[in-house]
Amino acid sequence: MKTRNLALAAAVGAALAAPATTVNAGEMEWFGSVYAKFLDGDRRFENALYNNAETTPGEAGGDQGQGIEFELMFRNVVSKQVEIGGRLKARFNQNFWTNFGGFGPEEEDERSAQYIKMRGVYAIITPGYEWIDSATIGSNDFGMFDPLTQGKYRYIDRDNASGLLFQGSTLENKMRWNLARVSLPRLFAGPAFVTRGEDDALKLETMDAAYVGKLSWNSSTDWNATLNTIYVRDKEVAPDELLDDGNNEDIRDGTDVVTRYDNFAAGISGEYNGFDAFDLSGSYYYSDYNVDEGEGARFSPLLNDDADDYSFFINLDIDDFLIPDLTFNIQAFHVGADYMSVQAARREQDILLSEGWMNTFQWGRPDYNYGNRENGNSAAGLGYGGWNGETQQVAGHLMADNDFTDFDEPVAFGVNGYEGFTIVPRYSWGDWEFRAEYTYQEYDTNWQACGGQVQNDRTTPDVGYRTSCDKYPMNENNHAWGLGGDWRNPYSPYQDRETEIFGFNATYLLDFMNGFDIDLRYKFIDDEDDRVTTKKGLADAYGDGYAGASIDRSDWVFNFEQQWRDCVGCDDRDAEYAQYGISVGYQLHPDLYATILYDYWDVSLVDGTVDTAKPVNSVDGGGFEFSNNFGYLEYMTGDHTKNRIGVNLNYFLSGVEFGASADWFWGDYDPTFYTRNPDTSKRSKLVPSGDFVATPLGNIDTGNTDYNQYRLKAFMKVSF
Amino acid sequence: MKTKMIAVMAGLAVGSLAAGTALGATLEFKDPTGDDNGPGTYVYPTDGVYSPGSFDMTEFEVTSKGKDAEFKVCFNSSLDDPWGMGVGFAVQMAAIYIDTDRAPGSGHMDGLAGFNIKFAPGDGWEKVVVLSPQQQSRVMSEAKMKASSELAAGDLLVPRRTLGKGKCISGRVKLEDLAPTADGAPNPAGWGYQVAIQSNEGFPAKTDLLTRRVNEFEGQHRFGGGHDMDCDPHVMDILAPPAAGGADEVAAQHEMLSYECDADGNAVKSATLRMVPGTDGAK
Repeated sequence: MKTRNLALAAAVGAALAAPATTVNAGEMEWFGSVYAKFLDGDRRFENALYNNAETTPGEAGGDQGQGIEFELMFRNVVSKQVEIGGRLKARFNQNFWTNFGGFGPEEEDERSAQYIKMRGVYAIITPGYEWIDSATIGSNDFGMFDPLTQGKYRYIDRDNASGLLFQGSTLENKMRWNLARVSLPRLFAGPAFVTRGEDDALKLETMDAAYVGKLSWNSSTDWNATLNTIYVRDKEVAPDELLDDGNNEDIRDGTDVVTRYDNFAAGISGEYNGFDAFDLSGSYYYSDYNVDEGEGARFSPLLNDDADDYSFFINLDIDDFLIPDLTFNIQAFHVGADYMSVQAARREQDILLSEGWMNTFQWGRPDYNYGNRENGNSAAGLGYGGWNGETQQVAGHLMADNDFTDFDEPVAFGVNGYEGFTIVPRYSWGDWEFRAEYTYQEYDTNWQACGGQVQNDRTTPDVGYRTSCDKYPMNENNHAWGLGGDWRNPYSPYQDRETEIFGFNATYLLDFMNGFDIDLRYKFIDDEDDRVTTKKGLADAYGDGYAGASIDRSDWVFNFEQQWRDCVGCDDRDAEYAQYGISVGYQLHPDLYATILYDYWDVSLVDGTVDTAKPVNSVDGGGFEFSNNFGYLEYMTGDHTKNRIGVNLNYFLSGVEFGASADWFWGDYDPTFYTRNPDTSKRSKLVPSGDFVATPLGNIDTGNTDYNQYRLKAFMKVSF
Repeated sequence: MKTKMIAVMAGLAVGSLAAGTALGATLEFKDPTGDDNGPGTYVYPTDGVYSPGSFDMTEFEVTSKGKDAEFKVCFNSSLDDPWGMGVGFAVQMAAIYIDTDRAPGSGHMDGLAGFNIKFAPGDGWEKVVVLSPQQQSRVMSEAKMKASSELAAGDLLVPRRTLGKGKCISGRVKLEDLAPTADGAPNPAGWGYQVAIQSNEGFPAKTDLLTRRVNEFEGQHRFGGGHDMDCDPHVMDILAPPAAGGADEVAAQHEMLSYECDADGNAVKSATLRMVPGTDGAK
């Protein structure tokens, strides 16, 4: 299930764990890597040497081309009290070999030219005082903190963030403390993905910061405890400091500032290992968020209104339960819908025990219905195959981020609002290793009209959920994981959902020739969402149809009384996902390891009727994106199959690693159609009479659709 | 769908039970908790992935399973895989040094590259088994550069796969690779053992075999409490005779891992380890 990802492991190590060699004081140490990547595929997009770059303006993904990047790292132990380091790196975002050495048509674009950029520069001061161990000034990934307060929240590199970090210990190392001031990323860490207001004359960005603290107590081998806190403040120039506001404010005595937003979060966690039979650990978090300028932003990583909430986790780990080699990991979890830490991890950390969704169905802004090459959104994504890597379930609110990743890497997924429990038994029997999983999930976002007033006055646009949901930015507005889903918006205006995940995995080492590593996997997910649960809510959710969309809906006639009226079951979403897979790995040569994989998925999905797509949060009136031609909302009701044959190669020589992953996907979609039965006021199957069926998202072909995708990634990494 | 799932799970379970392997005798060695501080002063790196107890060995087992020997090392912390290694653990690494002949004057007297340890006279090792979350071929490729003589002699062994589950990591190697069958049936209880606990470092220094360094001051991904030069042992925990887990073994560990450096960082006294007789584990 969770696939091996050596690329990630390598990258994690490379980012900040630069090798600590023994050098004399003052001697500059140089080391680094040369990394070449080769992409191929039949999507034929060549916007970048990354498969996925869909949410960053000006960037876009691709599956074509070759490029090479160079990274030179340096470190100097200046003295016993000072160490400095950093990196010089030439990134290959659009630096294809076909640019012919940087003299391509985009020479002026730093993403295309072979410019080298300074990255990750830091200085570590170790003064030798009793009260402080070290002060780190400069770049850092701040991995010493916590995924729900100050987590790993990289952009391109793991050390994009910079700040001041102070660390120390006392009481014979029983107590350790970490304090940091982290400069706030103006790229995304504020309402509407900025850290400044709308008025440029009032803009202040460069002093915005997060203040982070961590206090750990570890006096016993039986237990330990940690307190994590963070406070974030985004400041702007006070509006009344402008001369043209009528106040004639004189700034010669200084300029006042106002808080655009602030965010406090704290968590306490503890672990007890003193029981013979099991280990117990848990954590509790609280967050408070105050925003002066919510802006009602459509795209935003933060809520548009003040909020506070909590989250908690309880973990029970049992070894040798009843019989030797049988272990259980159990987790109960609750991630509050409004829990918010703007600096929480948005990738690379996983807060849930569950393996989560099937990542082959993660395609941020998909295009299943039309196959429109002109659709820039879906073109920037991965395509039909989705990701092969594991799920990194993050509580970075609306900021789960998967840009600059390839298909063989993990995928981050936002889990704000998730609550439930997971049980994972593992057992060893001879050459077999077994792992199973059962997860039951409900959602803190199970609400009607975002928890606000359900208003059935369908003639007034700004009532009901359209008012109460203004608090929740919708981003891609497509909170339906899996087919047609996205990963960073946990909110839906109407939701009444529960999910069950079953998983089973068996690995076997067949002792024949060099030994065959065999992996068998099965996974099943049952996901049900009743969405609107009252007749009154129907009018609120659908009473005005899907206003604002600009696609051609001439074939679809909006008639609320006939299409919805009293059918609360008509918009239900019922999804069943199943996966069957087998892999065989073999050491072909002492330096070469090969794996062949086959996976089969089948999905049965009923997602509303031909008259009801899902309720969509219309903060800004929806618009053309509410068509499946554009890729934000898809009509996916029916039966789906998907197959994958994959080949992975890993080749090691002294000082160099080669890797390759190739996938061939094929599958089909057999659409089915439902409508409201006027006799029973319940959902019933519709037998199409023509070549298409009209829906609010556009006309859907009644025939089968075939899908295919081929993709390849190969790389070479030389470390020196 | 749910019926299908149950049928598949039942089928795999039945198949697996039929494929079980008969277990042999197990040698069990205990190690006290709270001694994951090398010679007594070492502290963990500061990154959150190095949770308390991650390098605190509590138990070491050797089990004969058919033609294989399985080595299991347990820690005082549930395992985690924050770096996506795919084998159930990520930060730990263990080198199991084995004195198969118990003959004075034979075997290797230095530990693997990056450990900075020596072995006492009479306790030289013939074989070492490396339990690492890295792929076998990655470990072997590193060993070609950094432990070439041991690898060429067939004295450095890496299991085809090393897995982590619960609090324990384990891996198997062929018994015949540990002690050629021509010498008679291997007798693990008659060997001597020492286990050196380290941390998996994907980007090691040029002279280190995938090991994490110990410096004077701890860093995000460096152990602290040692010396910035190579005169200190880069080991967080070891076994100490009689490996029964008694509190007195902590002092014995600290004594074995004690070291002295001169002003230039050269070793005046190196950490010197003793083997734990296999008979101590045959309880």
